[in-house]
Amino acid sequence: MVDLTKQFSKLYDDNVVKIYRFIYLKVESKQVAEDLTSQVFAKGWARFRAITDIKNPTAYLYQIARTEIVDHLRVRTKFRMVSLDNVEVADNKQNLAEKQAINSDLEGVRKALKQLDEDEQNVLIMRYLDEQPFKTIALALDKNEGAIRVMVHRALKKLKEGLGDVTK
Amino acid sequence: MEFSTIKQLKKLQGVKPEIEWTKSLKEQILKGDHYYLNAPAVWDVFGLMKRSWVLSSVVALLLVSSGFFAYTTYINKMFVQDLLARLNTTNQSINQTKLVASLEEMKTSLQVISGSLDNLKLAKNKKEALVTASVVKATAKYGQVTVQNIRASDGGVVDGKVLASLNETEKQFQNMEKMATAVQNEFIASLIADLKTRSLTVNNAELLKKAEEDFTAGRIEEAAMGISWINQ
Repeated sequence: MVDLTKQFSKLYDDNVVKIYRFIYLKVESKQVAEDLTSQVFAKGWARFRAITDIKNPTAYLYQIARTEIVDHLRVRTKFRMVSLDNVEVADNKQNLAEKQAINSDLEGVRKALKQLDEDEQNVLIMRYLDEQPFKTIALALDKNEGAIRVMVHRALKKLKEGLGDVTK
Repeated sequence: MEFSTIKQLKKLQGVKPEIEWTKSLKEQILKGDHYYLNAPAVWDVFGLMKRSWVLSSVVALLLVSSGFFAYTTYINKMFVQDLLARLNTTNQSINQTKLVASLEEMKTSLQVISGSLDNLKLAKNKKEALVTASVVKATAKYGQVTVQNIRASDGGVVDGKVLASLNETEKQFQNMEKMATAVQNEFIASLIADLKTRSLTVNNAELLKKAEEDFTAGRIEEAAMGISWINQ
């Protein structure tokens, strides 16, 4: 049990920011993202203890996260759009002007990312933001590695076009 | 490779949760304090009931109604079983009485039939013979109906021997009916043949012709009726 706690602790430390970001970019609300992230790790911990041979725990966490996002989007009746102005950007040493600049940049990228379909968003987030290997992405999205690589390439191209539209 | 696009995309790596929040969440989860980890399992009805008065009410209602249902089913079963037991006893005695009575009737009917057939063979008056033949047929049919009724109501309570007797009686009745029909047909045929040798009025000749046509076509009753209208 101590061993499991240690293992899960490490898993948590390695992935909490990534999972949070993965969820946040879909739900656009800090509170909802926190809530869903906590669900993901609580469920992950419960299953981690019950199933001893999870092949790729990181991919497993992403699978849970996807499910939580889908369930949340399905049941919500009102959705309050929270702009990136309210996002806590990690570096508190930055001054307000810098923060504003970063936030408007983020807003542009976020909008461009939103134009892609679900899977395309997922592969880009997991590959470039979370820096996950193709194997983990494939497991998390239940596709084969080859398909993921192709998807990444296409999604990137689409994002580029989208970013071009956003800056116009 | 789309380097500038990736660089732009990587700006989103700035989206991070608060450090304090992540620490607190970790502690919660590993200590088991998280509400998901404390939620009662689906099968832990009592645990769930503590959380929801609606669920508690529903469960209580289900328990009460299923208890009531079980009780009434038990009572009904006991009552029905008792009733059936009584009915079976009663049925048995009723059926046997009926059977005995019916058998007596059948015996009587058989005697009537036997007697009637004897009378038929000896009859000189054709009208009298026709009437007797009809009685024989009716009695035979009555006998068959009686046997069927008893069979429908006995529900397996009938004693094997009695049933065998009934079967035998039924066969006899059927035979009687056939015999009665054959005798009747033979009689009508002989009447027609006899009348054809006689000198008849035009009206009577036509009646005879019609009777013969009816008889040939199997309309025995009509033929018999027609013959009875012929005045001698």
